[in-house]
Amino acid sequence: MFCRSSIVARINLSIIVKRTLFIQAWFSDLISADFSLRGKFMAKAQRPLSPHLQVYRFGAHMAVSIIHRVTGSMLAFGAILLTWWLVALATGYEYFNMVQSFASSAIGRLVLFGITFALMQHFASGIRHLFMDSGKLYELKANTASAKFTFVFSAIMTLVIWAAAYKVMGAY
Amino acid sequence: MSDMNTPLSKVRGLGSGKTGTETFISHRIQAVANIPLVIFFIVSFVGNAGKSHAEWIAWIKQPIVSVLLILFILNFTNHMRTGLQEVVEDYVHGHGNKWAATLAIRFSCALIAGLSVFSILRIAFGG
Repeated sequence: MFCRSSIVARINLSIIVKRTLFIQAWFSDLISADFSLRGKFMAKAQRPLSPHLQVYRFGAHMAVSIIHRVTGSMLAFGAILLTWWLVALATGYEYFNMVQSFASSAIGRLVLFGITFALMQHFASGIRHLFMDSGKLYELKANTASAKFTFVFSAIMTLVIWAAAYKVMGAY
Repeated sequence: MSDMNTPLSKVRGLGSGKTGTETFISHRIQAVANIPLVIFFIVSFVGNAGKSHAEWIAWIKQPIVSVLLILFILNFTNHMRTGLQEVVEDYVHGHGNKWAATLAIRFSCALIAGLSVFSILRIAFGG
């Protein structure tokens, strides 16, 4: 009695398992979605990704976008230097002169030159972003031309600012 | 009636964007305000290049200069905070990392603003 019922149960169980597997296979073929049962067993399935940066040809419009963020982060470092300089100015004559000697050293001037460029580039590409926020400069030619213009503007302005600063200091 | 809030006011800011629109708009307002302030900053720092400690102090003591400098610092620290926050939201992943970076940004921007404004006030009021 006991033995027989167990055989029946085993047969019934195997039928249930087979049917379940069949239904699962059919179902997962049907929906074939990420959250189907098959996804759990095929964790490293190679799924197609939506096209991103790698499918586009690199251009000035892409460069200006990432450089806007890079220069913004550089200016955050510049803000720390400005704070240091203001604190030194408020602290007193001796400490201020020490900070000034740092700033006027070769490395200090190189850093300040870089920050000047970052400020001018962020300034120009920021104004370009304001135009884009108002719905302008989305045409391909205008977009690329304005992106290139920001680099020309920042290069020229950086040189003009440093030429003017040296002129004020009486270097020439 | 248990409260007077409209249904709209109860759900505002609860979407996945949170208060993103307000942050976006205020970031742009700060950017516009930065245009004249940066021009002022560049022109005056180039004009004063190479000056001595006493000359710089005398320049900052002018009320218009100290006010403009303080406005510049308050504006750019806020612009910097929202800007860096945007970078963190895009590139820093994980709840804990994101919050650590957010706190670091908030605190350092507040520190920069506090130290700079105090220094300018100290000079302006003859400390």
